[in-house]
Amino acid sequence: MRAVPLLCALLLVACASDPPARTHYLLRAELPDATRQIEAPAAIGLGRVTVAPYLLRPGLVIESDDHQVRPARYHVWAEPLDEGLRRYLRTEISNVLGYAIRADWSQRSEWDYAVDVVIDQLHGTLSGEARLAAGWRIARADGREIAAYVLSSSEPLAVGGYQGLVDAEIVLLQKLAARIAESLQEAVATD
Amino acid sequence: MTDTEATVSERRRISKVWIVPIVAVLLGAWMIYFTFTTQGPKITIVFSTAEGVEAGKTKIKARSVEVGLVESVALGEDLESVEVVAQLERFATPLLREDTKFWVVRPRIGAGGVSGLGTIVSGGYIELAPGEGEPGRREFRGLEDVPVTPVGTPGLQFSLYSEQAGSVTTGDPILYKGFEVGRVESTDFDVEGQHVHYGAFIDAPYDDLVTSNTRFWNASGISFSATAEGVELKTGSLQSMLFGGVAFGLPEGVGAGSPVENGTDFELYADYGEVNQRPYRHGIEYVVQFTRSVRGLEPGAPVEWRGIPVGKVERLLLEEMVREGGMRGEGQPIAVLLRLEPGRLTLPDSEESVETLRKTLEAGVRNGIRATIATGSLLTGSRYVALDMYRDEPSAEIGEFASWPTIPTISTGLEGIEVKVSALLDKLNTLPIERIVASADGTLRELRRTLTEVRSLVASEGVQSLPRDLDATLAELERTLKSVEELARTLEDRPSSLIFSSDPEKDPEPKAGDR
Repeated sequence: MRAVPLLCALLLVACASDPPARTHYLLRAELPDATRQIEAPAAIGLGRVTVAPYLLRPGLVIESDDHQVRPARYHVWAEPLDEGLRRYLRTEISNVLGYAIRADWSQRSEWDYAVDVVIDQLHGTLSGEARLAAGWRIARADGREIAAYVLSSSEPLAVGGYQGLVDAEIVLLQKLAARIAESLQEAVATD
Repeated sequence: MTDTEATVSERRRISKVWIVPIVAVLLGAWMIYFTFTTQGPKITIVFSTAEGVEAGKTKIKARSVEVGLVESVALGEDLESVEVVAQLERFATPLLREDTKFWVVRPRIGAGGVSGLGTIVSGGYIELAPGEGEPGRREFRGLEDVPVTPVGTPGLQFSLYSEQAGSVTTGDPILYKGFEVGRVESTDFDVEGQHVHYGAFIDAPYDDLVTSNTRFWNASGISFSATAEGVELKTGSLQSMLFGGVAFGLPEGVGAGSPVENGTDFELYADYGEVNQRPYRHGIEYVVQFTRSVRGLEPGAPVEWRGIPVGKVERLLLEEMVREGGMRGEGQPIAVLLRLEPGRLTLPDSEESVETLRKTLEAGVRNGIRATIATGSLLTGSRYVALDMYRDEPSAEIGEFASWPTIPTISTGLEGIEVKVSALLDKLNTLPIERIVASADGTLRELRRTLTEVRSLVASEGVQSLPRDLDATLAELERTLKSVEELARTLEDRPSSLIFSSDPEKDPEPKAGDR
């Protein structure tokens, strides 16, 4: 009788099959060049980066033609997307502005301006396109809003597959960072 | 007997001797007639002493004109007076009237000056001061002192009375604003009334200054008072300072009043301060009896009718309480004597107003007027008697205590509150305030130290990073929950997937886009 559990275990092992390997992707920005840094005209910080709930899952999201979305099972982000986006945007915006913007929440009271970003869409389509829909809001230290913007853009995948999708999404995020930096310069100059 | 025979009779003749007596009789009759027609009346004057009066020598004079002569001086029947009989000239008859005055003029030295020096040489005489009353009086009471005011002088004659003689004597001036307008004419002591009585006179036209509300006070000496506002020194004229005097005027805030008649009685106050303490002459006294503490209810405390002063507290009737009820140990109510003055209610300061007030109070007590003790000041604890209408009270009548009428009293709810507040204050007094304050001070110091530590704790890097860490933790938790949700959904769809893995389905591959 002792052999029955062992037999069952062997049967179970025999039924199992090897799953495909998972591929992890990372949003990586170019580090700012310290020699090109200029003096910041004001203390600007990146506030909250909010990501649409359907993106808060490890897998990259694909939208099918019939408007269905499906998170990929074996192509996943290497880190939570909101954290990755926050770090990526901060680096990219700093690169565009030429000086580092702040991201330390505990010193938010010392900021002159803060920008909060909302990512509504960041996914690809089976037809070979990456889509980005985002909005941002620039506010003074006292919380009074100075300006608000939205951006909706798409980028065709240069190559098929998930690597191509991540590259296209990075292009869209660079465009978003550039627009945010541009609006920040304008807000600081006119305020 | 024949017809020619003559009848011889002896002829009767009156002797001429009779002429002498007849003439004598006629002369006598004429003398009697002359005497009756030229001789004046004979009067009797009663003096207490016959000093300076001699029968057949002392003359009666009116305005230095001889009008009669003393005929006899004899002791009265009571042996305590002297009866002087004087014969006056006929022309002096109209001078004898009801108010004619007689006094002996002899050298006198008094406050009003020196008089009668001329009689040192000529000898004394009796002065007759003609009166203005009904004629025909023949018996008079002579004055012991020289009247200060000549009889018939226009002005106001009145009386002053006081419990103490003070320094006021006959001849003292009566002053109005420092100006002499009259004088004290006489001084005596009223045994029945137990007070000193002064006759006083004010010359016309100043007599119009005296009205029913006029008050007289002793202006002798120097009045000195020290108050918070400084030192006040009041003096009369030099004469009044040295020899005494009487001043008069109106109390503060009291109207002029009505004119007065001759013979009116006025109280003589000790000083002007006392006048203002008792500015009204007429008042009515009532007794109120309280069963609770009368602490703070001092003599002079006000009596108010709904906040309007109508009188004051005279005194506590402790002696009367003992006399009336004895010391029985039964908690007798404390009797307090009040004096209500109608003048305070703008009524005339007269007996008629007092009667009106008395009747009003009598009816008011039937309708619910009651007396209570009220607190004037919580700080000083001074109390007063408040009169008010309590319509819910049963009807009552004016009572009596030691011959005074009494007003019923009542304990109001306010008094109860006062008692509670007083008890609360007493408790507060017994609280160890200093210890509590010291303890509170220590506690505050400790709290301040704690707050400093909390502030430094909050400012520390670890606590500052808490929101960020918390935010990250919440995001991680949300992600975990989504994974669990996905797992749950998978198990719901395929329960066997926990043991038997399904065939791995490949992710759909996006194709390259069109550029």
